[in-house]
Amino acid sequence: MKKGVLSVALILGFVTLCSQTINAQFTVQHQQPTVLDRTTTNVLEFFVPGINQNDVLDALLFYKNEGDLGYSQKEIGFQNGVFTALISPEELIGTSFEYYFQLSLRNSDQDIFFPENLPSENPVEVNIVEGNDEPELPKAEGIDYSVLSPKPGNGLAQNDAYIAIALYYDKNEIEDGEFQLVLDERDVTSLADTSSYFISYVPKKLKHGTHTIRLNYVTANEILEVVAWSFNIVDPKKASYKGLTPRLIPTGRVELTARNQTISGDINNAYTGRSYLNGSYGLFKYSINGFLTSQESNRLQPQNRFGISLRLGKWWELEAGHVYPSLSKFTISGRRMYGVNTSLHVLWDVINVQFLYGELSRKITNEYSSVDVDTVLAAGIPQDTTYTLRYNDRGRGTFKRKIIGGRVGLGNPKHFQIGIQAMKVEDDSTSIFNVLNYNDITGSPQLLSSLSFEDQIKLSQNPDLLQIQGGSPRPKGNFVAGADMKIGLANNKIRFRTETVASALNNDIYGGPLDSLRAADIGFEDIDQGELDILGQLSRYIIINENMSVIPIRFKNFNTDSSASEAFFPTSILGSDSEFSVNFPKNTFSIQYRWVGPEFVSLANSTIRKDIAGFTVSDRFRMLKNQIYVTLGYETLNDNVSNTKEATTNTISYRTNVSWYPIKNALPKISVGFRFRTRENGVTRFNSEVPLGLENSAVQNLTVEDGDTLTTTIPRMNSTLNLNMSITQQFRLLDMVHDATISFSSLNTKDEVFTYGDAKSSSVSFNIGTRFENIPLRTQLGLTSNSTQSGNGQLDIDIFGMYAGGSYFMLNGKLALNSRIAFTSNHSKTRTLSVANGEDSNFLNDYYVLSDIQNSSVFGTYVLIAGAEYKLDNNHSFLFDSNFTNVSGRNSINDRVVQLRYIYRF
Amino acid sequence: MKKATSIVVSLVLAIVLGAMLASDLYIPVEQERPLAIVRRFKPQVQLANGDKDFILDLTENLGEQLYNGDTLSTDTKGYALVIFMDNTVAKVKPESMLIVRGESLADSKISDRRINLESGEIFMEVEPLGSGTFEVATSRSLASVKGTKFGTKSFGYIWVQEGQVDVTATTSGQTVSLFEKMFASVDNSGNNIETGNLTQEEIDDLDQGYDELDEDLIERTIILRFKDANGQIQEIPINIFEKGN
Repeated sequence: MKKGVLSVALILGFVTLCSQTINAQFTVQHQQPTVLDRTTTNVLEFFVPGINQNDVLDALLFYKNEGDLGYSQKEIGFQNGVFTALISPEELIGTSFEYYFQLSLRNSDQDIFFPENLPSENPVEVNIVEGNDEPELPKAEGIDYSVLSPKPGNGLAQNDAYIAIALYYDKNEIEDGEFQLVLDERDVTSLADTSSYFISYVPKKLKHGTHTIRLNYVTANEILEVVAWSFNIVDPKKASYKGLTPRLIPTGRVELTARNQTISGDINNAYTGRSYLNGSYGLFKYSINGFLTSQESNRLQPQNRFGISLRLGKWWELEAGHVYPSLSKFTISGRRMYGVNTSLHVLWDVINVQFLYGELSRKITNEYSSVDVDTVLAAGIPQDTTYTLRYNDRGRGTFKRKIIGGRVGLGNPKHFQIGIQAMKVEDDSTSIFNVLNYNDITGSPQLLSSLSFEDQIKLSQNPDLLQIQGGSPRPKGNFVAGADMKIGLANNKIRFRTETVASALNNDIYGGPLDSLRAADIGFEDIDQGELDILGQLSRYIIINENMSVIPIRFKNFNTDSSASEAFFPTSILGSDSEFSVNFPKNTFSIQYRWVGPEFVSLANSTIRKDIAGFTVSDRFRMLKNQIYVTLGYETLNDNVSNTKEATTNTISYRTNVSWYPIKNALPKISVGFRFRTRENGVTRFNSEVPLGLENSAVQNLTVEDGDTLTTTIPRMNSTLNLNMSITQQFRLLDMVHDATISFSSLNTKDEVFTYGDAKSSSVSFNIGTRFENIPLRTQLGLTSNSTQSGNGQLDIDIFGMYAGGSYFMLNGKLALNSRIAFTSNHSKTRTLSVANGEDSNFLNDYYVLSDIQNSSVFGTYVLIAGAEYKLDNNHSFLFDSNFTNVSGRNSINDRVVQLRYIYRF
Repeated sequence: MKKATSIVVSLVLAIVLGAMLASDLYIPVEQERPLAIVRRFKPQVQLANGDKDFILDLTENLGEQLYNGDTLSTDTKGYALVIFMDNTVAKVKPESMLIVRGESLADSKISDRRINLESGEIFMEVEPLGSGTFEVATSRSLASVKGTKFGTKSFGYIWVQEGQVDVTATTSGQTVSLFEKMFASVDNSGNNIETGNLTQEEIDDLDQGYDELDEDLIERTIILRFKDANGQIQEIPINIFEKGN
């Protein structure tokens, strides 16, 4: 059994690593940012050479902030060959942002990821900084002042500019230092008339507009701010225009696209329409969006999407249609649903209510092909016959999955809030025609046609003889409920939050709640009607029957005369997350404890890590005028929280990241980080049955107890070192402004107890964007190189990619031409693992060996993208895009896409 | 004896040298922080104190600093706007002469200041906060104020636009309190004070000329309202900088 499990695990792991090989022609090129700026919207771009709109089923960015239990997700738009995700400041919480990209393809069951290997475990991690604004200086204490001229916010004529500040302080009570006068970030102290108690300066020819003055006190150790203010240099004869007040007429955009494409020799056309409209009337804001495509199919989840959003001030918000609600990390967090999500915040945020209702997935009917009859013959005589109902290609369906949930929070979260939340997710078991046994197909002449009369008689006598290919879909039910609390002290600088929820999962709600007959079948003969009635009442939340993932009843003194059952609370269904944090401008400290049982399930968020418990401690502080961010982190997590496994795996991580984010653009932005992780389960590697020296290749692990040789859990002991470095620099050269970024990351896993457990990967990427000063031209050049070796010879992949592109603007910017050429070369070598000594009866001496046969694959992907945008006027644009892809190698293909778009903005 | 003499002489020399050095190093706060600055002036304003006596130049003397004892004079068309360190403002009319006096502490905004108005007239906007005393003296009157806007003519006429002013006749010592829209007139001998109320028109007349040198321009927003092509009312806010008064 263990051998089988291990083999399956190895195969699965290998399949994961080989995912790139399966979708061979697609690799993701992504230049990770050096840092993410919390004060602005950040853009993440993913370029997948060779992909076109027709291939894309779903493109998702999974993201979380450090310490989050699971990932939130958001859809990513695809335009001009690039997937672009916008990260808003509200999504940048804490000190770091982790993300990975998932691309689901229409014609493939295998998704594409970035990073490629175990993306949820090894996501891209980027430090969050506070932006390029001037960092706040500490205030000088003990120095009083009077601003004599100019008064803050006032305007002066250009020839009347005069700065004067009177100072008041006791020399003996402040540290030795000097005053520094800074005008528009320029130190003008040497030009000013300075004395110990009065500073004045007459600036010459200041430009019209706003100017900033700051008076600092510079000591040997730091720079302290005495006062800072701004004023205006104005022409008193001229007024300044502030812009239109909010319009009552909505603004919007309509986009129509027609596409002709030849993919793998097949020619087809696709048409899409996208619209967006938003507007406001005072505090009331609204937006409507819609997307229609000719590729809508009832075999897929909705491709046509629409939604409406209404908001009244900060008090009320309603979203309807295809929406992406977040209730909490334990329930739903950004998963798309079709329905309504509304929230209310009243009485100064003291009463907070959220409610959502809709469907997480729509029904997709099962499409069956026929019943296969397979008769085993012995000497020409039928011995056994199996009947298998098969699906059409991609004919397996899904139930409509409904969701309803809500949360009530009392109190302002900045001070004290307590809340309760609940969410019910349940499949509509009647939404699709779903064959469970022969009785379900008796009304279908088409399916019966492949069965003889004798077969039909036989199946009618024993309907369960009919097998369903891969098993029938089973409708599930899920209920999650819990409570949360938030406390904020010292102006919300000191925070404590905690959340504890419990979940229940029913893997098959067919048949409804448990009845007395089915209860007796599973050993509860004594269940009375009152208890069954309770189950009936609970069914409004979750249907409880024999298919629950956890049944809160256990047997005592099993197989004895005094055997009995007793109810217990299964802690394995709980999930809890608590965090204490101190958030000061220069230092952010947090300590987090989480406990998630192995049976905790939310059908609306599959990314929650289960069966873990432990602490995460992190501290982030800033230095050197807030230009250097240092993050230190420590985490210890263990699984087996319910003590159901033979061994507990403990994972310890140490993390450090240093980011330099200078104020001056002339200096580079640098981020360097490392993470060291050890993972071990305390089981000693031992196998005396395998040949000498091959103990770490053994399939089984053994132990000797009281002279008996027993198999044990497979040992785990490995360490992973993850290094990341990224540098971004803007520089001017030859009348061009360049923005260059170079990133390097490496991941090295060393397995101490399994010969084929090592993994190494490294990647280097370089990107340079150039703006020409004298030519209306922008160019981009990118290079990426990835190398992965895993399983000590099982898989070696080398990928090199490059792209170059540019945009040229003509006719006073009305016409923009753009083009991009990309090339990717992919070399991979794979060898499979096989089991030696597997032929004999002693399974204890089995060990893994690498096969002698090495499969190699070499191919290249060439992509040429060209397009143009012509702006007829401010409202109308026409865009032309073309995409040609050639994949060389064994399965050489040529794809082309031509697309015409019309955009109307109003 | 000679030895004692040389020791005494050396000591005296050392003390004198030390005193000279110390006096050179010592700069009183008054000298490090002026009492006021001449923020604006036109067209001809003269500044004098001891050795210094010069006509202020618009390019050279913007923000000219006034120290204890400085005399400021305006010619027949001259105006000056003087700002004291606590942001008290003195607006000086033509043909006026005033002497600023005062002392202040290094570590406190509290200071005692006096303007001796020898001729002409000034209008004061005195900061209300606890910034010490402020007095305006003429040959006949002494106005003691805190947080007020008032005008003084050198011949002993005082009027109050806002706040309260205590006026004392210099010879008799008689003191009266003036409130908003009141005036006081001290006779030639400085013995008697006549008081009364002012109409708004009279106040406006007295204020005339003081806006010649405005303070900074204050940002204001005006809104233009019109109908657009769709018939909807559109509003365009426009920011202008206008005189602060």
